[in-house]
Amino acid sequence: MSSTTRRILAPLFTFLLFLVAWQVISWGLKVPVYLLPSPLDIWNGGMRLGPTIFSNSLETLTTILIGFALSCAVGIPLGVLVSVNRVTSEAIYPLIVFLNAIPIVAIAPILVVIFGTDITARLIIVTLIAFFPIMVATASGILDTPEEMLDLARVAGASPLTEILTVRLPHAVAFIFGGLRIGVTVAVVGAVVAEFVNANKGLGFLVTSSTAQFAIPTAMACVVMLAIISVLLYESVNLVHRVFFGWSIRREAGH
Amino acid sequence: MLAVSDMPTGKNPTPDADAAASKPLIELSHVGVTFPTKRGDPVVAVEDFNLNIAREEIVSLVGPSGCGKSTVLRMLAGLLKPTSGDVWIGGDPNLRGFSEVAIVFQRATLLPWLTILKNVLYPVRVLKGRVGAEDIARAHDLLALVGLDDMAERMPHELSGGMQQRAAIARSLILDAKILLMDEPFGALDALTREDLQLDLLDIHARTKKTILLVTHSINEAVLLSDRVAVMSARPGRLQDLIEIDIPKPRSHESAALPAFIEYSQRIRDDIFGPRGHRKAVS
Ligand SMILES: Nc1ncnc2c1ncn2[C@@H]1O[C@H](COP(=O)(O)OP(=O)(O)OP(=O)(O)O)[C@@H](O)[C@H]1O
Ligand SMILES: [Mg+2]
Repeated sequence: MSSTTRRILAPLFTFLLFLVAWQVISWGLKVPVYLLPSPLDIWNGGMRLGPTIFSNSLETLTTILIGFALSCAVGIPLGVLVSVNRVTSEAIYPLIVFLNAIPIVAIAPILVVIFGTDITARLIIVTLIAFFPIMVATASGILDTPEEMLDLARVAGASPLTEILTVRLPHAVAFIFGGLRIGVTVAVVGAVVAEFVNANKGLGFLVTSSTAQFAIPTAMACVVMLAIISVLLYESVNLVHRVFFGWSIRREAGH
Repeated sequence: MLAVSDMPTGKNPTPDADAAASKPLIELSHVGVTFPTKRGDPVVAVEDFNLNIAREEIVSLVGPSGCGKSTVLRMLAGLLKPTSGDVWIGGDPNLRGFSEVAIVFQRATLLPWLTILKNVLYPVRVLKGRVGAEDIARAHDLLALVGLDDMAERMPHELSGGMQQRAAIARSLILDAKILLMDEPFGALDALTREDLQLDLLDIHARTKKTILLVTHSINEAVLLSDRVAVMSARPGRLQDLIEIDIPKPRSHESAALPAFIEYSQRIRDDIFGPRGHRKAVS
């Protein structure tokens, strides 16, 4: 068996074993469905939703993706601003730490009152939760730039902006992707929280509405769907990193 | 190759410029550099340092670790302002960037996200904002000069340490700066690569007529490459001795066997270590 097939098959096997064990224990102990549905119950719960689960997944995915894009658009420039210059750092950082300290779950209902039930409130919630790890990672990368690279840029006559664009940001790429990996997973959490309090569609909404009707297997099917989305997004970030910024991975692996 | 050797050498035909050419290209007069420290006394890195360097000259800066060699270089590169005294380049107290003064560091410092060719072109990109066809042609010429013509499209991590340093040297020549500053450029390389690159540097100097200030920890390297060797004393860094190296050119590693070569080396060793350097020979 080659190492790649083993890397795929081994965890798959473990996962199947886990599902089978869960199923067997559910049968054996006769655990009531409303306490803990078995894998087959969850499967059936999902099937009962039919195509609805996919349209709602798409809804949630849209919120996650737009919110994540906004988090990048906010987090990366802020990361640069707080790291590159003493004054901007001192001016901005306290506000950002304060924003990040706000418990998202607590502020979500308030945002709904302000922005209504359209996507705006949900995007704000996702962005609030996901920009921070991206910002911190960007800032660490910017600060990590080797002094000699900066000297090179300066001797070449680079302005501070050129220095950021041609040296600091490219150097920060490996760090930024670290932040994106965390950011994309918390964006999923943010989207679900947002849908809990404010939505009539989406997986988060399905979870709350199914639970209200004691349709626990259906709710669990939605949770499984969310986990799948989360894993796929995480791997997509990895893929983009590998394909478009391969040099930054090699650099880490080497030396 | 031709394009490189045909490049302007800093020699000017007009009599006016001839007068300028007889003036030193680099003048450091009574230069002092003091670094403030968070706690305690400021560090005097360089004090009352005087050195003039003529056009096309190769001068080596040697001295104990921490005596301020890099500080002098960084000052000439415009990365650092002297606390006192004057630094003049080409009669101009306002230092300019890579087009006047180029620098090679101990580590190649290639940008890992750019190909070798793009690394060599990096100063052009910064200075002009864009890279023209003639710049690319010139970069290829320079890569050929340092023996890397077939590596242009490789990424830095695919090259050995010596090759990376060659690429860094090519990069330092791209804007045709008159002055080349080198801070222990071969210090991180193995002995064989080092000897190879030393000869390459002499070759490049013969072709391009750069004015070179070289920091080195190798006395042998200083004597081999330099027209003059400046020895610095430690804390605070001052000019301790300035030695004219009168060894016929072109030089090669055979020059190291000449009695004069050995005498110069011994004198530098004495300057740095004092009588301690003799102990072995005496006992
Ligand atoms: N940015 C700085 N802040 C404070 N002190 C500094 C700074 N740069 C250099 N120094 C001090 O100045 C002195 C000279 O440093 P420099 O790097 O020029 O020495 P050097 O001769 O190049 O040494 P080496 O041979 O080890 O490279 C040292 O004592 C060093 O601690
Ligand atoms: Mg040094």
